[in-house]
Amino acid sequence: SIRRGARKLWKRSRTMASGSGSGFDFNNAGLTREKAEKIWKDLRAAIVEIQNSNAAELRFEELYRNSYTLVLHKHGDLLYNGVQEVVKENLMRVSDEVNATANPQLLGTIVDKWSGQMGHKLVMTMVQDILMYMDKTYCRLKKKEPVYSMGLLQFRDHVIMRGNVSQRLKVLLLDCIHKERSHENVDRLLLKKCLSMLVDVNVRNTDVYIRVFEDDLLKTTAEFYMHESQMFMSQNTVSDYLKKIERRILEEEDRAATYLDKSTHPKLRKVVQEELITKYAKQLVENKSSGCVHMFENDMVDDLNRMFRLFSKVPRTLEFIRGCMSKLVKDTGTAIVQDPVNLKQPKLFVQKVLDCRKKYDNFVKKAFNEDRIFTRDLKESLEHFINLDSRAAPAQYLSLYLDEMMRKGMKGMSDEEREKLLNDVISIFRYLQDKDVFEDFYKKHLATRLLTENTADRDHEKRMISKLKAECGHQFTSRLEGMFNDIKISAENMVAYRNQRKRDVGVEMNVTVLTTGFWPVSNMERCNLPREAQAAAEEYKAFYASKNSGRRLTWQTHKGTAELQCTFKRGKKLLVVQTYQMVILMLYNKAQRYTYKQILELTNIPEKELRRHLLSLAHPKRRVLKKEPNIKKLTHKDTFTYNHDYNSQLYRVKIPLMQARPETKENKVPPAVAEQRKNWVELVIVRVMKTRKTLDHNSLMSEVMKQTHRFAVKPVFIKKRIESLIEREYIKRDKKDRGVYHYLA
Amino acid sequence: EEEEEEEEDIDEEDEVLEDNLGEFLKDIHLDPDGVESFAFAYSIKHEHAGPISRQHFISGLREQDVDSWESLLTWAKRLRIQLKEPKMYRALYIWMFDYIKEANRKTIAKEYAEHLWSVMLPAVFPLYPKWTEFLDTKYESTVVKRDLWNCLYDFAIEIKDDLTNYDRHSGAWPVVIDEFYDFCAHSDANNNNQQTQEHQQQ
Repeated sequence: SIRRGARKLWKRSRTMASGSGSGFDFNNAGLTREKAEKIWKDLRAAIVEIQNSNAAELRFEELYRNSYTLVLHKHGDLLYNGVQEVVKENLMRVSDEVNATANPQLLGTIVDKWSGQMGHKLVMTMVQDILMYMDKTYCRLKKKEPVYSMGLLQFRDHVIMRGNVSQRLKVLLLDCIHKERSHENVDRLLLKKCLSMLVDVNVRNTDVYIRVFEDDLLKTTAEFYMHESQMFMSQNTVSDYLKKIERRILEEEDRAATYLDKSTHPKLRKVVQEELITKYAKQLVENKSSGCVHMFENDMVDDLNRMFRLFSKVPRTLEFIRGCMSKLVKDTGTAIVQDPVNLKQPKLFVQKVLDCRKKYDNFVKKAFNEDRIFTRDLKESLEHFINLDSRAAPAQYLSLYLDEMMRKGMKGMSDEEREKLLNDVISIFRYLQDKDVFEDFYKKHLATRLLTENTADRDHEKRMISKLKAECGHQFTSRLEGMFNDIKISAENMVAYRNQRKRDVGVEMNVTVLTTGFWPVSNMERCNLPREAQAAAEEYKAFYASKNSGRRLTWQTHKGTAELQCTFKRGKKLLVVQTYQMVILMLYNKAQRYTYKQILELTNIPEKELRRHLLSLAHPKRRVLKKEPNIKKLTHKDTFTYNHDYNSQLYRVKIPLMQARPETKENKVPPAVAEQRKNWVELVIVRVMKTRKTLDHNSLMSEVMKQTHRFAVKPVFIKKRIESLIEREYIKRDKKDRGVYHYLA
Repeated sequence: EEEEEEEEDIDEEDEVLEDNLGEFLKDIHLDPDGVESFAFAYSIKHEHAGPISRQHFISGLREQDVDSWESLLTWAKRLRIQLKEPKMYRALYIWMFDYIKEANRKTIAKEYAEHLWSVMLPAVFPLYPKWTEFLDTKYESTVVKRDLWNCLYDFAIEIKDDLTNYDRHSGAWPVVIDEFYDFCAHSDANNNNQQTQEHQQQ
């Protein structure tokens, strides 16, 4: 506190002396060397007093004046060199003391000598105050180091760099850090002060700090962590290793922030990350027992998140995690898509795909913080396995799944659950490459549902359509809306029809009129309807014609159902059958037995359809007709007899129809879709060429690809279409350049 | 006079029949089975394969300023020389498609194309043997389209024997020619394998 008091006095006297001239004795007549040396001697003594902490007695303005005088009379050299000398002398004594100090006290001692209460820095501050004028004029002129920094540099030269002090410092400092890493306590403040000293003592840069400390810090850090990592990894799981290095990294951050120089932070970080993360990143991810695959399969979200956070410090290591995830998704997905069990059950198939997606979506959200690149990689992996199958089977399955859900699967679900289901379907739809195949199946399934289901509430159908509209554009859904409209109008027509029927003809009918073009492919084949049915059909036709002239109706006998009241020995039954089956059964009003050949001729039903409709009636489980011989194989001579012994517990019996064998067995997309694709590409080519008139090959190819989103279009495919159009003279090649096309109007 | 004699010989018939034409061509030193016979038809603008009418024969020659036996021989000699010019050769090749094509069709039968190719291509198409192999094994269609016909010639002229300057990606070549390229590349690879195998066996 005496010290503090002296300092205050000193400061006050300084401010008093600046500028004012009272009591100032200026000798203008030049200053002899002798006189100068005397002044210097006094000054020198004063400096020594300061060095000995006896500054309280000194008078600032006198000292300032003296130094001012010396400089003014061109005795700057004397002054400067003298100061240098006296500082050096003092520091030599300090140096001896420091060198004599034992290691345990060395840090403390040297820091005290540097920045302690009577430390060198403080001394030099005071000395600088006195010699301010010299600094501003002489030093600047002669380009000499200003007093304060000159003093610091001398400390460097005579104390730190003298003897083996710097080596000892190095060892002690690194030893402290090692201790701390080994979880012992050290004096952090002392370390901080010591390291600041090393930085400040070189004034303009951190070279001393680097040479004495930092270089070796980085080296020993690397060695330390290299050793520790190897040991730890060989005996612990990945998960535990990650926890450990997370702690270590935090420790090092703390160390850097607390006592290391700022310039060391990035360098240290780099070394630590290199040794703990970068070196082992791949290994950690690919570890067979506790690596990423294990974590994914066991839902270890926190561990994956930790890994993600740590690896994010060295961003390029993230690609290992991504690679692992992508491969796992693709492998899992490929297994789903190729599993024969799944291929038989659309619902199971779609469910598994959805589960896979949900699982990894969750990882991306929770473990990987919705990172953009992870999201992208997941999407690509899902797309990859969903589109592996060249038949576009997933597209078909998705539609079958949706069909099943629409029919019955969604009964009892809340509105939210239904909405979620539809959204799930849409999410998978987005991944499909062959979107047009899905659309094709969807339309077919939707048409069948509209015609056979009695659902008054078509709300969820309409919602699905609006979702598809958002994905595909209104072009796709406009025809679907037409289908709905047809149903509505038909219902209205039926009401009108029934009302205007005056007499009660035998057959009761429900007619739905479908606009060609809205509905999937129609059947033009006609079969021989029984008299009663034909009469009813004609009547309706007349009614319809009266309301809509100019339209032609074609009965779609391959669809539709009929209810027949059939008489058996045990009573009457109401059989619900397909139209074709009705046609077949009506024959038995005239005779009891027919051969297959006869039925074929009498009904005129296309043979392929006749087979399965007929065999369904003769099926062992519900023998409405008896087949002879009673085997599945069907020949023209086989006979079918009306089974009078038929019985059922129910009055109203629905006769199921055998499934038609699916047509697409080859590795191709359904033919209708393939045809559509050809037309589409040709349409685009013509459209582009019509606008551009002349276009080169590559530009045309890329334009077509740009405009085709519904399916993946291959260059060969486009080329073939171009050639077809050349052949049909829509476009031609340029005479000189084969790679340029011209539009032919 | 000799020309008039010829006119008398075929006085009864309006058509210049194959045999007579063949003899005629030989007399003026044109190859009746080769390129030169087609060049003859081309020059007198006999646009479609078939018998030449007498009228056409005479008027066609007359338009070429041929009015005597000497001028005929000179003209024929000039024709043989002209055929050596790439431009003329190409024009002849391109023209031949329509010559052989039936009027109501857009394509020509594969076997006709093969025959014409055998006449026209060996002189200018080093890979012609490979092309015939390709036609026998990989080319499944029974017809040849005009675009392929035309482009094949350019391929023959422009592309090197080792196919190193063939741009499969953006060359805008017809798909069949891409397939021919693949066919050559594939069989080269096989040959290399075979050679290394044989070498190893040695």
